[in-house]
Amino acid sequence: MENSPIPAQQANTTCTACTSAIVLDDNFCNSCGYPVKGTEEEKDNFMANRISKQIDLNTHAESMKKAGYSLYWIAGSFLLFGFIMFAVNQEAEDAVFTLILNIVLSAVFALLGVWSRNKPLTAFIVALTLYGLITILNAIVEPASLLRGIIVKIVVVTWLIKGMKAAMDAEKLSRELN
Amino acid sequence: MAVVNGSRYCGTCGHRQIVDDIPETSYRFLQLKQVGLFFGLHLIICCLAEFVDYFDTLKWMAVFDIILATINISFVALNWSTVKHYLKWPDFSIQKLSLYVGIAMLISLFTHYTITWINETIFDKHVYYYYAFADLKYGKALMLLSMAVVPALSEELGFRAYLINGLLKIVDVKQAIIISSFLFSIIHLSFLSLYWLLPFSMFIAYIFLKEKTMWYGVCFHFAFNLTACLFEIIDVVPL
Repeated sequence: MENSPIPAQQANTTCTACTSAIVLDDNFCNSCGYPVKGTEEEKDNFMANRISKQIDLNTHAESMKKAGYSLYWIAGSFLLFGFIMFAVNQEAEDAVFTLILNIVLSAVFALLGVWSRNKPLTAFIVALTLYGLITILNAIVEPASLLRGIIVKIVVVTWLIKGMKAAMDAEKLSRELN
Repeated sequence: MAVVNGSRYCGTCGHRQIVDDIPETSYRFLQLKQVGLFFGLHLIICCLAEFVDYFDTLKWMAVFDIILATINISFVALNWSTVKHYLKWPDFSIQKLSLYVGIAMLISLFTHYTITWINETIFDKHVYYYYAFADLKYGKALMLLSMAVVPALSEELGFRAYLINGLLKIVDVKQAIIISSFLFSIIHLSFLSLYWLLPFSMFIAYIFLKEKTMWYGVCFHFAFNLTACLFEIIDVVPL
């Protein structure tokens, strides 16, 4: 009987839809609006609508999870690329700096992945901006790098954009449901 | 009928008691695209100025400053109804202004010494922007104009007055501060400067939202840049 505005001692029963405490005098649940004294058809319609929203919410959660995983993939690829570049160009003057930069960027994307569980929209906006900036800067230094792994880049960007939309939809649906 | 305190719905008629303050996703996504366009335009200009040797002159710097200012003014004009309130300065306080200017000068002092230390110890070099203006007739005045006055006005208009208001249509206050500060920091295209740019921009964003005007931020930004410029001039020009 969580989140119920009715004190437990006044509650006579629980809501079928959201399990919040309700008093017998009420026609509607104070928490979710379930028509306690409505007709069977009204109750069925309410439940169908609620279940449909919950299914949508689960779909959005799945999209956000995918976008979150893409951040871990980016983090992993930066780490791997950093060590490969270091192994290949150990003699280069900026080899250590490049390695440290890749490790830092990898850590940033991993942290964004973790943060996306709490604040998905902000984490995806920051991640997409940072990923786009790194891609552009790499392309300025070496234009051919833009085409390297282009399919992976498109997939990552698509997942992040879908993640953003899903985060917006999920926020709205969560507010409506509870 | 009286509604139980904290109820989302009326127990008698079923009417929703909480106003849904989250706009539709399509509207939020449209705002996000506008923010993306704003940032993308800035990014293109900044990359051209930073990485294309052909544009590495004072004349082109002035041209890019004008283009960026035009972009900022255009986006403010597009969102005039929400931004206009922040262009006023209704509760002017000299104490507050002095406090913010003092904080800005102290942070600038800290930044100047840490940046100098980093450049000397890690990169073994000195970076002085003043040399670009040194041969001009009014070099010092032009440096202060292009590095203290213009950025303070233009960037505050774009990255605070427009951007934060744009982001507030998509996310909540805290997230708007974080995102706007992050975008402002990375647009400077300096990885090492992030350590001071992020807290700097977060503080200005906080002032902007707390005071509900962009002018304290403009003064803060101006005082910060002015202090940095004066330090450079003192370092380079023998007294």
